[in-house]
Amino acid sequence: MDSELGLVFDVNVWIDAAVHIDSVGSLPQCADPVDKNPFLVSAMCFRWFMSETPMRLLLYSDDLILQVAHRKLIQPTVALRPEDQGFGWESLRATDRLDTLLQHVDATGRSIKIKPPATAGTHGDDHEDRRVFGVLEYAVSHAPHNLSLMITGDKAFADEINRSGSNGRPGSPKWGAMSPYKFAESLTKQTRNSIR
Amino acid sequence: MNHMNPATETNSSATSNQSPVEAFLGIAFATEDNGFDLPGSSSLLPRWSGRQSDLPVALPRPEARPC
Repeated sequence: MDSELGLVFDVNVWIDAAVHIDSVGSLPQCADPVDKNPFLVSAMCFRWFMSETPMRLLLYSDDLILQVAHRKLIQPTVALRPEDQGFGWESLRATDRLDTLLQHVDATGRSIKIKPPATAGTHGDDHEDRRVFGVLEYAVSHAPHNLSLMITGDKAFADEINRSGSNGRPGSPKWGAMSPYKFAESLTKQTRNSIR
Repeated sequence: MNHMNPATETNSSATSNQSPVEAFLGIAFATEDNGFDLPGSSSLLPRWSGRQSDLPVALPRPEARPC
């Protein structure tokens, strides 16, 4: 059966991977996700995307997701509202790290940046979750792959996605959501099985 | 729902004639656990608020879309 997996990384996964690159200068080699550092685990998701996996992977994103990630990186480390908290980086530093990540991804030729249609919502089209969800909607509606999967570090967001979808079970695929850790761990197990 | 034992699923994935994506799904969705309870699974940064009101009721099903 010919099949592929469509991926959407949420904003925090981009942020966490950018932080990992900032600290060590490169993406990690593929390995068991035994390290529970969220920055490393997110970076492993990108590494898996670029490595030789048994699956064909296709990554969907858009410019605004990267802009939101940039904004979060340069927000102060201390903020009145928790959701306004960031890493306090200089703008140039954030641009450089995200560009590096994007260059890695684009180099695979398997990434697609789209512009989701504007949708009605209380927070508008520039809202982070609305935008990420819009990219997932696009991937589900327009792409030929068997499953579109959102990788997110937000359990409530993933639960919301999984409640509206089929959770990706074989026989009833189409969309689902899971944590970066689960994604990396599952790919590790699958790759081990495929080379036995 | 048919929840398989993760260990059983892992072994069957290695020997069956599944596609790579099917094998991945069998492993990833063998249990309801999406890995959020493990240390390091969630990002350190909180996200924007108000997400529930932004989500539509359901995503469009691919099989229903026009060709």
